[in-house]
Amino acid sequence: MSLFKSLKLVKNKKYANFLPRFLASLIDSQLLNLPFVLSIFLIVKKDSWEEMLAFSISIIALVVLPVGLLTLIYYPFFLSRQGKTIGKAILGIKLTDKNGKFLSFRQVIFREYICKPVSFLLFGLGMIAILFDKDHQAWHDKLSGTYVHLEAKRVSAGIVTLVLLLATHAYFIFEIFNCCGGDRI
Amino acid sequence: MTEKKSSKQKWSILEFYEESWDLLWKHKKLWILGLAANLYLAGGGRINLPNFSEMGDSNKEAVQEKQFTPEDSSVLGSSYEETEELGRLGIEDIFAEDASVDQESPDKFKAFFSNFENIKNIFASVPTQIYVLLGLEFLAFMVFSVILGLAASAWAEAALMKGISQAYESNEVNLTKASQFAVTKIKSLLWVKYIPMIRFIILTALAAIGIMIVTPLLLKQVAAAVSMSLVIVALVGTVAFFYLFIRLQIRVLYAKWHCVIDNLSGSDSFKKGIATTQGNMRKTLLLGFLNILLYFISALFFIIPFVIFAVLLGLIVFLSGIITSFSFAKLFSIIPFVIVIVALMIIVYSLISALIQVFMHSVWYLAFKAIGKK
Repeated sequence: MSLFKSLKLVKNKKYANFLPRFLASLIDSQLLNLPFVLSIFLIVKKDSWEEMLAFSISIIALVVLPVGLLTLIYYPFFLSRQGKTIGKAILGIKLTDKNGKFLSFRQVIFREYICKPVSFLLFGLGMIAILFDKDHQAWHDKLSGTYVHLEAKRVSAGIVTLVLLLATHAYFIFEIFNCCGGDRI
Repeated sequence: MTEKKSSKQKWSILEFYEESWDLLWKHKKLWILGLAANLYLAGGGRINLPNFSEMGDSNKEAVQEKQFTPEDSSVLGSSYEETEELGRLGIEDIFAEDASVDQESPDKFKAFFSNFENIKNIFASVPTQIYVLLGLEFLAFMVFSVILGLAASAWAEAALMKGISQAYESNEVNLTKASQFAVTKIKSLLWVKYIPMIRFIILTALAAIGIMIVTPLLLKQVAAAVSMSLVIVALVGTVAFFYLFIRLQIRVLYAKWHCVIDNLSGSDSFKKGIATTQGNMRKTLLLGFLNILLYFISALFFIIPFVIFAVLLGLIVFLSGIITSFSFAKLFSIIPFVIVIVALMIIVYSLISALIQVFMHSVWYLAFKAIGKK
Protein backbone atom coordinates (compact mmCIF):
# COMPACT_ATOMS: atom_id res chain seq x y z
CA MET A 1 0.00 0.00 0.00
CA SER A 2 1.50 3.31 -0.91
CA LEU A 3 0.33 6.87 -0.50
CA PHE A 4 0.02 7.17 -4.25
CA LYS A 5 -0.86 3.96 -6.05
CA SER A 6 1.56 4.94 -8.79
CA LEU A 7 3.35 8.12 -9.62
CA LYS A 8 1.70 8.27 -13.03
CA LEU A 9 -0.52 11.20 -13.88
CA VAL A 10 -4.10 9.99 -14.14
CA LYS A 11 -6.88 11.31 -16.38
CA ASN A 12 -10.46 10.66 -15.36
CA LYS A 13 -13.04 12.71 -17.23
CA LYS A 14 -15.77 12.10 -14.67
CA TYR A 15 -13.95 13.86 -11.84
CA ALA A 16 -12.28 17.27 -11.72
CA ASN A 17 -8.50 17.34 -11.93
CA PHE A 18 -6.09 19.63 -10.11
CA LEU A 19 -6.30 22.74 -12.34
CA PRO A 20 -10.06 23.45 -12.24
CA ARG A 21 -10.14 22.69 -8.51
CA PHE A 22 -7.17 24.95 -7.86
CA LEU A 23 -8.69 27.78 -9.92
CA ALA A 24 -12.04 27.39 -8.15
CA SER A 25 -10.46 27.62 -4.73
CA LEU A 26 -8.42 30.66 -5.80
CA ILE A 27 -11.58 32.40 -7.04
CA ASP A 28 -13.38 31.65 -3.77
CA SER A 29 -10.51 32.85 -1.65
CA GLN A 30 -10.13 36.05 -3.71
CA LEU A 31 -13.87 36.71 -3.39
CA LEU A 32 -13.73 36.22 0.36
CA ASN A 33 -10.64 38.44 0.66
CA LEU A 34 -12.23 41.32 -1.17
CA PRO A 35 -14.14 42.79 1.83
CA PHE A 36 -10.91 42.76 3.87
CA VAL A 37 -8.94 44.62 1.21
CA LEU A 38 -11.85 47.04 0.79
CA SER A 39 -11.88 47.64 4.57
CA ILE A 40 -8.18 48.53 4.62
CA PHE A 41 -8.76 50.78 1.61
CA LEU A 42 -11.56 52.63 3.43
CA ILE A 43 -9.44 52.94 6.58
CA VAL A 44 -6.40 54.44 4.86
CA LYS A 45 -8.65 56.89 3.00
CA LYS A 46 -9.30 58.75 6.27
CA ASP A 47 -7.62 62.11 6.73
CA SER A 48 -5.96 61.76 10.12
CA TRP A 49 -4.54 59.07 12.37
CA GLU A 50 -7.25 59.75 14.96
CA GLU A 51 -10.00 59.14 12.42
CA MET A 52 -8.23 56.07 11.06
CA LEU A 53 -7.87 54.52 14.50
CA ALA A 54 -11.48 55.15 15.50
CA PHE A 55 -12.77 54.05 12.09
CA SER A 56 -10.70 50.85 12.03
CA ILE A 57 -12.24 49.71 15.34
CA SER A 58 -15.71 50.17 13.86
CA ILE A 59 -14.67 48.50 10.59
CA ILE A 60 -13.30 45.48 12.44
CA ALA A 61 -16.54 45.11 14.39
CA LEU A 62 -18.92 45.84 11.51
CA VAL A 63 -17.13 44.37 8.48
CA VAL A 64 -14.00 42.33 9.15
CA LEU A 65 -15.25 39.99 11.88
CA PRO A 66 -18.80 39.52 10.50
CA VAL A 67 -17.31 38.74 7.08
CA GLY A 68 -14.88 36.36 8.82
CA LEU A 69 -17.83 34.60 10.42
CA LEU A 70 -19.66 34.54 7.09
CA THR A 71 -16.57 33.04 5.51
CA LEU A 72 -16.85 30.13 7.95
CA ILE A 73 -20.42 29.58 6.78
CA TYR A 74 -19.74 30.29 3.08
CA TYR A 75 -18.48 26.81 2.19
CA PRO A 76 -20.98 24.79 4.28
CA PHE A 77 -23.89 26.92 3.06
CA PHE A 78 -23.18 26.69 -0.66
CA LEU A 79 -21.74 23.18 -0.76
CA SER A 80 -24.56 21.63 1.25
CA ARG A 81 -27.25 23.31 -0.87
CA GLN A 82 -25.89 23.10 -4.40
CA GLY A 83 -22.67 21.14 -4.13
CA LYS A 84 -20.78 24.11 -5.45
CA THR A 85 -19.42 27.44 -4.33
CA ILE A 86 -19.22 30.44 -6.64
CA GLY A 87 -15.73 29.39 -7.74
CA LYS A 88 -16.79 25.80 -8.35
CA ALA A 89 -19.88 26.95 -10.28
CA ILE A 90 -17.73 29.08 -12.60
CA LEU A 91 -15.36 26.17 -13.22
CA GLY A 92 -18.26 23.71 -13.70
CA ILE A 93 -17.40 21.38 -10.84
CA LYS A 94 -19.61 19.86 -8.16
CA LEU A 95 -18.98 18.21 -4.80
CA THR A 96 -20.93 15.11 -3.73
CA ASP A 97 -20.57 12.04 -1.55
CA LYS A 98 -19.98 8.57 -3.03
CA ASN A 99 -23.72 8.19 -3.80
CA GLY A 100 -23.79 11.41 -5.78
CA LYS A 101 -25.74 13.27 -3.08
CA PHE A 102 -24.90 16.71 -1.69
CA LEU A 103 -23.18 16.72 1.67
CA SER A 104 -24.92 17.90 4.82
CA PHE A 105 -23.91 21.15 6.56
CA ARG A 106 -21.95 19.18 9.19
CA GLN A 107 -20.22 17.02 6.60
CA VAL A 108 -19.00 20.11 4.78
CA ILE A 109 -17.68 21.62 8.02
CA PHE A 110 -15.89 18.32 8.67
CA ARG A 111 -14.41 18.28 5.15
CA GLU A 112 -13.43 21.94 4.99
CA TYR A 113 -12.19 22.64 8.50
CA ILE A 114 -10.97 19.29 9.83
CA CYS A 115 -9.90 17.21 6.82
CA LYS A 116 -8.64 19.94 4.49
CA PRO A 117 -5.81 21.17 6.76
CA VAL A 118 -4.37 17.63 6.59
CA SER A 119 -4.05 17.98 2.80
CA PHE A 120 -2.07 21.18 3.21
CA LEU A 121 0.56 19.45 5.36
CA LEU A 122 3.96 18.71 3.81
CA PHE A 123 3.48 21.69 1.50
CA GLY A 124 0.21 20.55 0.04
CA LEU A 125 1.20 16.96 -0.71
CA GLY A 126 -2.41 15.90 -0.12
CA MET A 127 -3.54 18.32 -2.83
CA ILE A 128 -0.91 17.10 -5.28
CA ALA A 129 -2.37 13.62 -4.73
CA ILE A 130 -5.29 14.77 -6.96
CA LEU A 131 -3.01 14.39 -9.99
CA PHE A 132 -2.17 10.75 -9.25
CA ASP A 133 -5.43 9.42 -7.83
CA LYS A 134 -7.71 7.47 -10.16
CA ASP A 135 -10.76 9.44 -8.94
CA HIS A 136 -8.80 12.68 -8.56
CA GLN A 137 -9.38 12.63 -4.83
CA ALA A 138 -7.21 14.70 -2.52
CA TRP A 139 -6.40 13.38 0.95
CA HIS A 140 -9.26 15.38 2.42
CA ASP A 141 -11.65 13.87 -0.12
CA LYS A 142 -10.56 10.39 0.91
CA LEU A 143 -10.93 11.25 4.60
CA SER A 144 -14.37 12.77 4.13
CA GLY A 145 -15.52 10.34 1.44
CA THR A 146 -16.24 13.01 -1.14
CA TYR A 147 -15.86 13.30 -4.92
CA VAL A 148 -15.51 16.41 -7.06
CA HIS A 149 -17.37 15.88 -10.35
CA LEU A 150 -16.53 17.65 -13.57
CA GLU A 151 -19.79 18.88 -15.13
CA ALA A 152 -18.34 21.13 -17.80
CA LYS A 153 -14.89 22.24 -18.93
CA ARG A 154 -14.70 25.94 -18.09
CA VAL A 155 -11.05 26.54 -17.31
CA SER A 156 -10.88 29.63 -19.55
CA ALA A 157 -13.90 31.19 -17.81
CA GLY A 158 -12.16 30.51 -14.50
CA ILE A 159 -8.95 32.15 -15.65
CA VAL A 160 -10.82 35.27 -16.86
CA THR A 161 -12.72 35.56 -13.56
CA LEU A 162 -9.55 35.09 -11.57
CA VAL A 163 -7.70 37.74 -13.60
CA LEU A 164 -10.58 40.18 -13.05
CA LEU A 165 -10.56 39.49 -9.32
CA LEU A 166 -6.80 39.82 -9.10
CA ALA A 167 -6.96 43.09 -11.02
CA THR A 168 -9.57 44.42 -8.55
CA HIS A 169 -7.33 43.40 -5.67
CA ALA A 170 -4.31 44.95 -7.33
CA TYR A 171 -6.19 48.23 -7.81
CA PHE A 172 -7.15 48.45 -4.13
CA ILE A 173 -3.70 47.39 -2.93
CA PHE A 174 -2.12 50.01 -5.22
CA GLU A 175 -4.48 52.64 -3.79
CA ILE A 176 -3.66 51.54 -0.24
CA PHE A 177 0.07 51.90 -0.86
CA ASN A 178 -0.58 55.21 -2.56
CA CYS A 179 -2.37 56.49 0.55
CA CYS A 180 0.27 55.07 2.90
CA GLY A 181 3.09 56.47 0.81
CA GLY A 182 1.62 59.96 1.07
CA ASP A 183 2.14 62.61 3.74
CA ARG A 184 0.76 60.67 6.66
CA ILE A 185 3.68 58.27 7.16
CA MET B 1 -0.14 -13.48 8.75
CA THR B 2 -0.64 -10.29 10.73
CA GLU B 3 -4.14 -11.36 11.69
CA LYS B 4 -2.80 -14.64 12.97
CA LYS B 5 -0.21 -12.84 15.04
CA SER B 6 -2.63 -10.35 16.56
CA SER B 7 -5.15 -13.00 17.57
CA LYS B 8 -2.49 -14.94 19.45
CA GLN B 9 -0.89 -11.80 20.86
CA LYS B 10 1.09 -12.29 24.07
CA TRP B 11 2.46 -9.58 26.30
CA SER B 12 5.94 -9.15 24.86
CA ILE B 13 7.12 -5.57 24.62
CA LEU B 14 9.85 -6.44 22.16
CA GLU B 15 7.31 -8.04 19.84
CA PHE B 16 5.05 -5.02 20.14
CA TYR B 17 7.87 -2.80 18.95
CA GLU B 18 8.89 -5.20 16.19
CA GLU B 19 5.37 -5.55 14.81
CA SER B 20 4.72 -1.83 15.06
CA TRP B 21 7.91 -1.14 13.11
CA ASP B 22 6.79 -3.54 10.37
CA LEU B 23 3.32 -1.99 10.28
CA LEU B 24 4.82 1.47 9.92
CA TRP B 25 6.54 0.58 6.65
CA LYS B 26 3.93 -1.81 5.32
CA HIS B 27 0.91 0.50 5.56
CA LYS B 28 2.00 3.91 4.39
CA LYS B 29 -1.61 5.09 4.27
CA LEU B 30 -1.40 5.20 8.04
CA TRP B 31 1.10 8.03 7.65
CA ILE B 32 -1.74 10.27 6.52
CA LEU B 33 -3.68 9.43 9.67
CA GLY B 34 -0.46 9.94 11.63
CA LEU B 35 -0.06 13.38 10.08
CA ALA B 36 -3.64 14.23 11.05
CA ALA B 37 -3.08 12.94 14.58
CA ASN B 38 0.14 14.90 14.85
CA LEU B 39 -1.59 18.04 13.60
CA TYR B 40 -4.54 17.87 15.98
CA LEU B 41 -3.22 15.94 18.98
CA ALA B 42 0.02 17.89 19.30
CA GLY B 43 -1.96 21.09 19.54
CA GLY B 44 -5.05 19.49 21.12
CA GLY B 45 -6.74 21.66 23.67
CA ARG B 46 -4.01 24.26 23.41
CA ILE B 47 -5.23 27.67 22.38
CA ASN B 48 -2.40 29.51 20.70
CA LEU B 49 -2.57 32.87 22.34
CA PRO B 50 0.01 35.40 21.24
CA ASN B 51 3.11 35.67 23.40
CA PHE B 52 2.37 38.88 25.23
CA SER B 53 5.81 39.17 26.79
CA GLU B 54 7.43 39.06 23.35
CA MET B 55 4.84 41.41 22.04
CA GLY B 56 5.80 43.83 24.77
CA ASP B 57 9.44 43.61 23.75
CA SER B 58 8.71 44.24 20.12
CA ASN B 59 6.51 47.18 21.05
CA LYS B 60 9.32 48.58 23.11
CA GLU B 61 11.67 48.32 20.16
CA ALA B 62 9.11 49.88 17.90
CA VAL B 63 8.67 52.80 20.28
CA GLN B 64 12.39 53.18 20.65
CA GLU B 65 12.97 53.20 16.91
CA LYS B 66 10.07 55.47 16.07
CA GLN B 67 11.08 58.98 15.09
CA PHE B 68 8.21 61.40 15.39
CA THR B 69 7.58 63.95 12.70
CA PRO B 70 5.91 67.34 13.05
CA GLU B 71 2.78 65.88 11.43
CA ASP B 72 2.52 63.19 14.10
CA SER B 73 2.77 65.63 16.93
CA SER B 74 0.18 67.97 15.52
CA VAL B 75 -2.23 65.06 15.14
CA LEU B 76 -1.65 63.89 18.67
CA GLY B 77 -2.02 67.35 20.08
CA SER B 78 1.38 68.09 21.53
CA SER B 79 4.20 70.33 20.38
CA TYR B 80 6.77 68.94 17.96
CA GLU B 81 9.60 69.59 20.41
CA GLU B 82 7.84 67.61 23.11
CA THR B 83 7.09 64.71 20.80
CA GLU B 84 10.58 64.68 19.29
CA GLU B 85 11.99 64.50 22.80
CA LEU B 86 9.66 61.59 23.51
CA GLY B 87 10.69 59.80 20.32
CA ARG B 88 14.35 59.92 21.30
CA LEU B 89 13.56 58.93 24.85
CA GLY B 90 12.33 55.36 24.46
CA ILE B 91 9.89 53.58 26.73
CA GLU B 92 12.47 52.17 29.13
CA ASP B 93 13.89 55.61 29.78
CA ILE B 94 10.44 56.92 30.54
CA PHE B 95 9.83 54.22 33.09
CA ALA B 96 13.38 54.37 34.47
CA GLU B 97 14.01 55.29 38.09
CA ASP B 98 11.28 57.66 39.17
CA ALA B 99 13.57 60.02 41.01
CA SER B 100 15.74 60.83 38.02
CA VAL B 101 12.71 61.30 35.79
CA ASP B 102 11.00 63.55 38.28
CA GLN B 103 14.04 65.70 38.86
CA GLU B 104 15.52 65.92 35.39
CA SER B 105 12.67 65.89 32.94
CA PRO B 106 9.14 66.18 34.23
CA ASP B 107 8.11 67.52 30.80
CA LYS B 108 8.99 64.22 29.11
CA PHE B 109 6.64 62.45 31.43
CA LYS B 110 3.88 64.96 30.81
CA ALA B 111 4.33 64.72 27.05
CA PHE B 112 4.04 60.96 27.12
CA PHE B 113 0.86 61.03 29.17
CA SER B 114 -0.73 63.82 27.16
CA ASN B 115 -0.31 61.64 24.02
CA PHE B 116 -1.59 58.65 25.92
CA GLU B 117 -4.64 60.69 26.92
CA ASN B 118 -5.27 61.54 23.28
CA ILE B 119 -5.21 57.88 22.26
CA LYS B 120 -7.53 57.11 25.17
CA ASN B 121 -9.90 59.81 23.92
CA ILE B 122 -9.94 58.26 20.45
CA PHE B 123 -10.91 54.89 21.88
CA ALA B 124 -13.55 56.58 24.06
CA SER B 125 -15.07 58.23 20.97
CA VAL B 126 -16.04 54.81 19.56
CA PRO B 127 -19.61 53.90 20.63
CA THR B 128 -19.91 51.25 23.39
CA GLN B 129 -22.13 49.08 21.15
CA ILE B 130 -19.17 48.57 18.82
CA TYR B 131 -17.10 47.16 21.68
CA VAL B 132 -19.97 44.90 22.73
CA LEU B 133 -20.26 43.67 19.14
CA LEU B 134 -16.50 43.09 18.97
CA GLY B 135 -16.61 41.07 22.18
CA LEU B 136 -19.49 38.94 20.92
CA GLU B 137 -17.78 38.29 17.61
CA PHE B 138 -14.52 37.28 19.27
CA LEU B 139 -16.52 35.01 21.57
CA ALA B 140 -18.21 33.39 18.57
CA PHE B 141 -14.81 32.76 16.95
CA MET B 142 -13.42 31.34 20.19
CA VAL B 143 -16.40 29.00 20.71
CA PHE B 144 -16.21 27.83 17.09
CA SER B 145 -12.46 27.18 17.25
CA VAL B 146 -12.62 25.39 20.63
CA ILE B 147 -15.45 23.09 19.48
CA LEU B 148 -13.68 22.44 16.19
CA GLY B 149 -10.36 21.80 17.95
CA LEU B 150 -11.90 19.29 20.35
CA ALA B 151 -13.79 17.49 17.59
CA ALA B 152 -10.69 17.42 15.37
CA SER B 153 -8.47 15.96 18.09
CA ALA B 154 -11.01 13.22 18.91
CA TRP B 155 -11.55 12.44 15.22
CA ALA B 156 -7.82 12.27 14.43
CA GLU B 157 -7.12 9.92 17.32
CA ALA B 158 -10.10 7.67 16.59
CA ALA B 159 -9.24 7.55 12.87
CA LEU B 160 -5.64 6.54 13.60
CA MET B 161 -6.80 3.88 16.08
CA LYS B 162 -9.30 2.50 13.59
CA GLY B 163 -6.73 2.59 10.79
CA ILE B 164 -4.26 0.60 12.89
CA SER B 165 -6.97 -1.88 13.82
CA GLN B 166 -7.88 -2.28 10.10
CA ALA B 167 -4.23 -2.87 9.25
CA TYR B 168 -3.88 -5.64 11.83
CA GLU B 169 -7.28 -7.23 11.33
CA SER B 170 -7.78 -7.11 7.57
CA ASN B 171 -4.29 -6.22 6.37
CA GLU B 172 -5.67 -3.22 4.50
CA VAL B 173 -6.20 0.41 5.50
CA ASN B 174 -9.26 2.19 4.14
CA LEU B 175 -8.89 5.89 4.88
CA THR B 176 -12.51 6.74 4.14
CA LYS B 177 -13.92 3.97 6.33
CA ALA B 178 -11.52 4.73 9.19
CA SER B 179 -12.31 8.43 9.01
CA GLN B 180 -16.09 7.98 8.68
CA PHE B 181 -16.09 5.59 11.62
CA ALA B 182 -14.02 8.06 13.65
CA VAL B 183 -16.65 10.74 13.06
CA THR B 184 -19.24 8.58 14.81
CA LYS B 185 -16.91 8.16 17.81
CA ILE B 186 -16.13 11.86 18.38
CA LYS B 187 -18.66 12.34 21.20
CA SER B 188 -17.81 9.08 22.99
CA LEU B 189 -14.09 9.69 22.76
CA LEU B 190 -14.47 13.24 24.06
CA TRP B 191 -16.49 11.85 26.98
CA VAL B 192 -13.76 9.33 27.79
CA LYS B 193 -10.99 11.91 27.47
CA TYR B 194 -12.52 14.70 29.51
CA ILE B 195 -15.40 13.64 31.78
CA PRO B 196 -13.42 11.28 34.09
CA MET B 197 -10.66 13.88 34.29
CA ILE B 198 -13.12 16.66 35.17
CA ARG B 199 -14.72 14.42 37.80
CA PHE B 200 -11.28 13.60 39.22
CA ILE B 201 -10.31 17.28 39.41
CA ILE B 202 -13.57 18.19 41.14
CA LEU B 203 -13.27 15.31 43.63
CA THR B 204 -9.62 16.11 44.35
CA ALA B 205 -10.44 19.77 44.89
CA LEU B 206 -13.31 18.86 47.24
CA ALA B 207 -11.06 16.40 49.14
CA ALA B 208 -8.31 19.02 49.44
CA ILE B 209 -10.77 21.62 50.73
CA GLY B 210 -12.21 19.07 53.19
CA ILE B 211 -8.77 18.16 54.53
CA MET B 212 -7.84 21.84 54.85
CA ILE B 213 -10.95 22.46 56.92
CA VAL B 214 -10.95 19.28 59.02
CA THR B 215 -7.22 18.99 59.82
CA PRO B 216 -6.88 22.27 61.78
CA LEU B 217 -10.08 21.50 63.69
CA LEU B 218 -8.79 18.07 64.74
CA LEU B 219 -5.32 19.33 65.51
CA LYS B 220 -6.57 22.02 67.87
CA GLN B 221 -6.96 19.35 70.51
CA VAL B 222 -3.40 18.03 69.98
CA ALA B 223 -1.47 21.26 69.48
CA ALA B 224 1.99 19.69 69.75
CA ALA B 225 1.52 17.54 66.68
CA VAL B 226 0.25 20.34 64.45
CA SER B 227 3.21 20.93 62.10
CA MET B 228 4.30 17.27 61.95
CA SER B 229 0.79 16.08 61.10
CA LEU B 230 0.36 18.73 58.43
CA VAL B 231 3.58 17.61 56.73
CA ILE B 232 2.45 13.97 56.81
CA VAL B 233 -1.01 14.86 55.46
CA ALA B 234 0.56 16.91 52.65
CA LEU B 235 2.97 14.11 51.73
CA VAL B 236 0.32 11.37 51.79
CA GLY B 237 -2.05 13.62 49.85
CA THR B 238 0.52 14.33 47.14
CA VAL B 239 1.48 10.66 46.75
CA ALA B 240 -2.19 9.64 46.67
CA PHE B 241 -2.93 12.33 44.08
CA PHE B 242 -0.18 11.18 41.73
CA TYR B 243 -1.07 7.49 42.17
CA LEU B 244 -4.74 8.13 41.42
CA PHE B 245 -3.87 10.43 38.54
CA ILE B 246 -1.63 7.82 36.87
CA ARG B 247 -4.25 5.12 37.45
CA LEU B 248 -6.89 7.32 35.85
CA GLN B 249 -4.63 7.98 32.87
CA ILE B 250 -4.17 4.25 32.29
CA ARG B 251 -7.90 3.65 32.60
CA VAL B 252 -8.58 6.40 30.08
CA LEU B 253 -5.93 4.96 27.76
CA TYR B 254 -7.59 1.55 27.62
CA ALA B 255 -11.06 3.09 27.63
CA LYS B 256 -10.21 4.96 24.42
CA TRP B 257 -9.29 1.68 22.72
CA HIS B 258 -12.49 0.02 24.00
CA CYS B 259 -14.43 2.98 22.66
CA VAL B 260 -12.97 2.65 19.14
CA ILE B 261 -12.24 -1.06 18.77
CA ASP B 262 -15.29 -2.43 20.63
CA ASN B 263 -17.47 0.45 19.41
CA LEU B 264 -18.77 1.28 22.91
CA SER B 265 -20.27 4.46 24.29
CA GLY B 266 -18.18 6.80 26.44
CA SER B 267 -19.35 5.63 29.85
CA ASP B 268 -19.36 1.94 28.87
CA SER B 269 -15.86 2.10 27.51
CA PHE B 270 -14.65 3.82 30.69
CA LYS B 271 -16.16 1.00 32.76
CA LYS B 272 -14.41 -1.52 30.50
CA GLY B 273 -11.23 0.51 30.85
CA ILE B 274 -11.41 0.15 34.64
CA ALA B 275 -11.80 -3.61 34.28
CA THR B 276 -8.93 -3.86 31.79
CA THR B 277 -6.60 -1.89 34.05
CA GLN B 278 -7.12 -4.25 37.01
CA GLY B 279 -4.11 -6.52 37.38
CA ASN B 280 -2.33 -4.86 34.47
CA MET B 281 -1.17 -1.65 36.08
CA ARG B 282 2.49 -2.60 36.47
CA LYS B 283 3.07 -3.93 32.96
CA THR B 284 1.20 -0.97 31.47
CA LEU B 285 3.31 1.42 33.54
CA LEU B 286 6.47 -0.33 32.35
CA LEU B 287 5.35 -0.09 28.73
CA GLY B 288 4.44 3.56 29.22
CA PHE B 289 7.83 4.25 30.76
CA LEU B 290 9.64 2.49 27.88
CA ASN B 291 7.53 4.40 25.36
CA ILE B 292 8.51 7.69 26.96
CA LEU B 293 12.16 6.59 26.92
CA LEU B 294 11.84 5.58 23.28
CA TYR B 295 10.21 8.90 22.50
CA PHE B 296 13.21 10.74 23.91
CA ILE B 297 15.61 8.49 22.03
CA SER B 298 13.67 9.07 18.83
CA ALA B 299 14.13 12.79 19.51
CA LEU B 300 17.69 12.10 18.39
CA PHE B 301 16.28 11.53 14.93
CA PHE B 302 15.11 15.11 15.13
CA ILE B 303 18.60 16.29 15.98
CA ILE B 304 20.41 14.39 13.18
CA PRO B 305 18.55 16.08 10.29
CA PHE B 306 18.84 19.39 12.13
CA VAL B 307 22.64 18.99 12.31
CA ILE B 308 22.78 18.03 8.61
CA PHE B 309 20.67 21.04 7.65
CA ALA B 310 22.69 23.37 9.88
CA VAL B 311 25.95 22.14 8.28
CA LEU B 312 24.42 22.61 4.81
CA LEU B 313 23.31 26.12 5.72
CA GLY B 314 26.74 26.91 7.12
CA LEU B 315 28.38 25.63 3.93
CA ILE B 316 26.12 27.77 1.76
CA VAL B 317 26.84 30.87 3.85
CA PHE B 318 30.57 30.09 3.84
CA LEU B 319 30.76 29.39 0.11
CA SER B 320 28.76 32.50 -0.77
CA GLY B 321 31.52 34.56 0.85
CA ILE B 322 29.13 36.57 3.01
CA ILE B 323 31.34 36.26 6.08
CA THR B 324 34.48 37.50 4.39
CA SER B 325 32.88 40.36 2.44
CA PHE B 326 29.29 41.20 3.28
CA SER B 327 26.95 42.52 0.62
CA PHE B 328 23.18 42.55 0.30
CA ALA B 329 23.42 41.07 -3.19
CA LYS B 330 25.16 38.00 -1.77
CA LEU B 331 22.69 37.81 1.08
CA PHE B 332 19.75 37.79 -1.34
CA SER B 333 21.42 35.18 -3.52
CA ILE B 334 21.42 32.60 -0.70
CA ILE B 335 17.80 33.24 0.35
CA PRO B 336 16.37 30.59 -2.06
CA PHE B 337 18.72 27.96 -0.63
CA VAL B 338 17.74 28.88 2.92
CA ILE B 339 14.04 28.63 1.99
CA VAL B 340 14.60 25.18 0.44
CA ILE B 341 16.48 23.95 3.53
CA VAL B 342 13.85 25.29 5.95
CA ALA B 343 11.10 23.70 3.82
CA LEU B 344 12.95 20.38 3.87
CA MET B 345 13.30 20.61 7.65
CA ILE B 346 9.58 21.23 8.06
CA ILE B 347 8.77 18.23 5.86
CA VAL B 348 11.20 15.95 7.70
CA TYR B 349 9.99 17.01 11.15
CA SER B 350 6.30 16.67 10.27
CA LEU B 351 6.90 13.25 8.79
CA ILE B 352 8.97 11.96 11.72
CA SER B 353 6.36 13.21 14.19
CA ALA B 354 3.61 11.50 12.19
CA LEU B 355 5.56 8.22 12.12
CA ILE B 356 6.08 8.39 15.89
CA GLN B 357 2.31 8.86 16.34
CA VAL B 358 1.57 5.78 14.23
CA PHE B 359 4.26 3.71 15.94
CA MET B 360 3.17 4.59 19.49
CA HIS B 361 -0.51 4.03 18.76
CA SER B 362 0.33 0.68 17.19
CA VAL B 363 2.30 -0.37 20.29
CA TRP B 364 -0.67 0.49 22.50
CA TYR B 365 -3.04 -1.34 20.18
CA LEU B 366 -0.97 -4.51 20.51
CA ALA B 367 -0.78 -4.06 24.28
CA PHE B 368 -4.54 -3.60 24.43
CA LYS B 369 -5.11 -6.72 22.34
CA ALA B 370 -2.67 -8.73 24.46
CA ILE B 371 -4.50 -7.80 27.65
CA GLY B 372 -7.87 -8.46 26.04
CA LYS B 373 -6.83 -11.96 24.96
CA LYS B 374 -5.61 -12.95 28.41
